[in-house]
Amino acid sequence: MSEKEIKSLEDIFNQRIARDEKIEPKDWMPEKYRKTHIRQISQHAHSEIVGMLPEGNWISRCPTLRRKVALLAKVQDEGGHGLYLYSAAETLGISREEMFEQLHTGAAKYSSIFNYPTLTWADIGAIGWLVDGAAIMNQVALINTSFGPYSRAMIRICKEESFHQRQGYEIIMTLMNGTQEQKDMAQDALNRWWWPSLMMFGPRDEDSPNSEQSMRWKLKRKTNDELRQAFVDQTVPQAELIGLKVPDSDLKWNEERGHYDFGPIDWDEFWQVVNGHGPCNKERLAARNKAWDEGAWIREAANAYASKQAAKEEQRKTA
Amino acid sequence: MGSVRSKNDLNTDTVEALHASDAKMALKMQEMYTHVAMKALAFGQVSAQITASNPDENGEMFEPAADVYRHPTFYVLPDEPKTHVIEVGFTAESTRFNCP
Repeated sequence: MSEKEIKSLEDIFNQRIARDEKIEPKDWMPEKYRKTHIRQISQHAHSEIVGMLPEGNWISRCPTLRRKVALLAKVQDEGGHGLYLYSAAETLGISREEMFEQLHTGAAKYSSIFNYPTLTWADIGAIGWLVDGAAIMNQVALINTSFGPYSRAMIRICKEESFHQRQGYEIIMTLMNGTQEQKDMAQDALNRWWWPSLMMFGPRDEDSPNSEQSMRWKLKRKTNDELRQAFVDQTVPQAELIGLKVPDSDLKWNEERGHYDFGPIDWDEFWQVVNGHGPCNKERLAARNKAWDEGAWIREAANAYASKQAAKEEQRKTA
Repeated sequence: MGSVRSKNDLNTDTVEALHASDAKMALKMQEMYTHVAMKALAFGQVSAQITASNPDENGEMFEPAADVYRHPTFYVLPDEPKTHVIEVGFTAESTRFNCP
């Protein structure tokens, strides 16, 4: 294709984005749009898959059956979300094997939040309330993203996630209505999860070099800082309501801005975890690899079954 | 069953579905249709060989499983502070999240 032809295709593409039309897998798209989407969607998928690990840690130790059905359903949802997202990424020409390979070798990133440990039962509450709260903020904005398969996956994911945050808040609230020990446990969980949750929205806008292009392509609909602010504004009153103290001495309502002001984020910690040196990076990757290796016989069995069924079907047709 | 594609349309959307008793008749109908409606392309397919999703089930594709504990209201939360509703440009009720 000549440069002129590409230019005109790119113009048509940009006009479609401007009109809020969805871009579908078979449509022409700039190579960078494709690559950026493969990276973002596969990272999102990996985050769902690795996200099962910290919570899975508590399934066998839930305090009640009610908590157990909810946590099981939630972890099951994360697995399903990972699969929808892998499918969406596959439409852009990357294979699932490649994506798994990138995850298992550590080449691909996933949300750093899952590199923190779940030490107590209150952490399960904090994850639902804060981590899922932050994730939903991001994902609701992504419903309007320009790439069709990603946008549609987001609709279903958001619908399914609508109970995740509430079950988390209910856990924390129940603890806050309990003994002093339970209250301390809830406060301790908030202390440990608050800042990593704010980091989930990614670097500050001025330090996020890809943000501008992503906004232009409508891959991102809101900036990192906008989403982070919305999360703080939503979550602080929820903490105060049940008697929790947000671990930030700079936090205060700013009447003029109509938002909460909050203290500086420790970006050194953020980059340290992103670059593989968080508390649980190695453990998470090891657990994923172990699950993958130990699940090999199931994949083989499923493939054997599928090819037998296909052979039978073939026989029936020719008979 | 047959389909025709609009002229100059890069997408192969089915713009019209025609039904006929056999392939020969279907092609005749398509010829007429493409001539009259200035469509660019026609193709035919025996309907028995078509596997397709049921459009009536489109809603369910987006709906979560029906278990009570997968529903937000299963979790009992206070009304205050004021219910936060995250609004997005998408029209459906589905994107309104009542956060505690």
